[in-house]
Amino acid sequence: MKRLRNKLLLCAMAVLLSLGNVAHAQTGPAEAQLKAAAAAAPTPAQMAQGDPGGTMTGTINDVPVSNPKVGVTVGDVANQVGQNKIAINFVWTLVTGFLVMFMQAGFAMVEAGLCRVKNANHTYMMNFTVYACGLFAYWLIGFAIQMGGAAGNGNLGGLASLSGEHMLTLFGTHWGIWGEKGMFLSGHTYDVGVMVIFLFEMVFMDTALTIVTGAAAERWKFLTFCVSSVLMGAFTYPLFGNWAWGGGWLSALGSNLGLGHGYCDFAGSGVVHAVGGVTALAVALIIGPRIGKFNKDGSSNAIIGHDISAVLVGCFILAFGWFGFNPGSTLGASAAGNLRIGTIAVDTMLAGCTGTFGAILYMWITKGKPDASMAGNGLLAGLVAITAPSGFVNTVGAAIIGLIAGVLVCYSVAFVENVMKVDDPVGAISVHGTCGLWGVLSVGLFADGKSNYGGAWNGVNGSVTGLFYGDPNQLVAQLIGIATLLGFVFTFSFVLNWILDVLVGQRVSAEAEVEGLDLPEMGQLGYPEFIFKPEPSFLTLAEAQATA
Amino acid sequence: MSGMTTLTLQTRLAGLALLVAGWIVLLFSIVLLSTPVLRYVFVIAGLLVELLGLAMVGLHHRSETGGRA
Repeated sequence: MKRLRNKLLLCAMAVLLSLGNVAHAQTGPAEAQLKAAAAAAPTPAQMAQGDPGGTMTGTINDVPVSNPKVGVTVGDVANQVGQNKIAINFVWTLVTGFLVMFMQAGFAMVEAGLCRVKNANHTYMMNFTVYACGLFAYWLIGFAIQMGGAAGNGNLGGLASLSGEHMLTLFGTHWGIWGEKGMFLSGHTYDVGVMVIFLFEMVFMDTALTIVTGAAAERWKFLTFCVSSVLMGAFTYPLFGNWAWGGGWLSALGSNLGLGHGYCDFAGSGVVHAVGGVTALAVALIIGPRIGKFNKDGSSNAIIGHDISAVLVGCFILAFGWFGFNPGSTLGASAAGNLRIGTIAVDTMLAGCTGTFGAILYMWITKGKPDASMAGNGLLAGLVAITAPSGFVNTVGAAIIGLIAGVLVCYSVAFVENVMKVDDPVGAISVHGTCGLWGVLSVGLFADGKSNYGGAWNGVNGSVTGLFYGDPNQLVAQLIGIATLLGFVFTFSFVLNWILDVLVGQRVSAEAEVEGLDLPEMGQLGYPEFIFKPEPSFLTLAEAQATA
Repeated sequence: MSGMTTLTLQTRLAGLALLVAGWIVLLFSIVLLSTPVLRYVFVIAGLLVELLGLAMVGLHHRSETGGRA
């Protein structure tokens, strides 16, 4: 018995030794290659001579080693490769986020340029202050509501600490309602990946907030604007953002009900622009039109902005920032299909181009001149519309989406002013609301099924495919997103701002509006050395009646 | 607010109620119905109810704006 046991032990040892030899044979060449590379790497003396050609900098010498006695191992190289992937994605997401942040300057110039000179300081200040209001509210609670349950993003290292999504269970299916982790970015969310996603999502949120200031310009009480912006940054935007991007119920329409890939909004035609646009509509409805905008018979007067050059330069700044908005929404440039960033950037350019064409041609044909402000709005309309589908469509689809948006924005501006009788000084409701909704819808039509972001989107395998490419279910998911924007976001914003109107008042006094908001609200003129041109007679008459 | 009559206030409230109602109809329909055609029909119906609500809110606004010179 003892002999048999000894024999068995010997056999087991022989097997183990042979396995060890195989393992050594597998790792051996790799280790040998690493040693050869280390031997061939430039010495400190060579590096001290300088590297004008860049051929010696960045070698095996730069790979951090876990054990200096052993030198560089395969494990060290693998760790460095993983960190490089995350580093590339961090840098990509941060830099594109910085571009989006700069869009605030574009919005400020467009909105102030389209307003009268007597309100320039007030309009610029709203666009400036909304950044602080939004950021504060988002850091406080908004980010937690939106992204508190958004764990699982491999591009940014997993974001494992964002694991708290409040779920509702219906008929055996689970629906995310709001996130719960990340208030003040404290606790476990004090994490490098979370900081990156916070910055990126924050600048998107702020874009939505600044849309509202355009529709309510020249008559919005500054204090009420601040409170309204904080509430929007804390609740309205984050709720819809969670449903679409934070693991919420809209994104689960595909995995739970088989509706395509669920609601798909690549960079935010719905989440950012339509949320901003429908909130702008709600505020504009509550606040009412500017004095002199509409006559007693309901006809409207054109109130011309003071600086078309600021408007057009602002539009270009926005178009530049959009290269952060759309390609940045991959949240990475390395792995998981992220090399599609080139297609997304070209789609973005093209839609802006065809949007401009659409608006210019429409105005030229119907009004006889290529209206400059509508040309700018056409560019923005194309960019807004391509924001949701930019990650899923080809260049032909992008061009068509932009062209339709460019014409649509002209119709919408006329409809909002002449039929709805809503005063929107900059066309924000049409550019961001109408064209944002069109962008959401267009995903369900034009998505070509070629994108592949890691093999799945919203937890559903395969590529997002629209009606024109064979999947009618995706369109249903997009329509549900539109219905939510109107049925929930508009109503929620309306009630919130209505309460504010009752409590503190949304609108400045008629006297302040007639004088211009720069002095009464801000205490300083935007252009103190300007001599103001007298207002048109229809305005002076209306202003006299309003202040009488 | 000060010039808002009971009728216009009711129009506004009814419009907001229709907006929410259309949304809820649509949400329940996609969960309860499994046929794609029926889902399409109810989604469109829900959207139409919402647009009716939006029109009523806008109607209230128009009635106020017409008198503001």
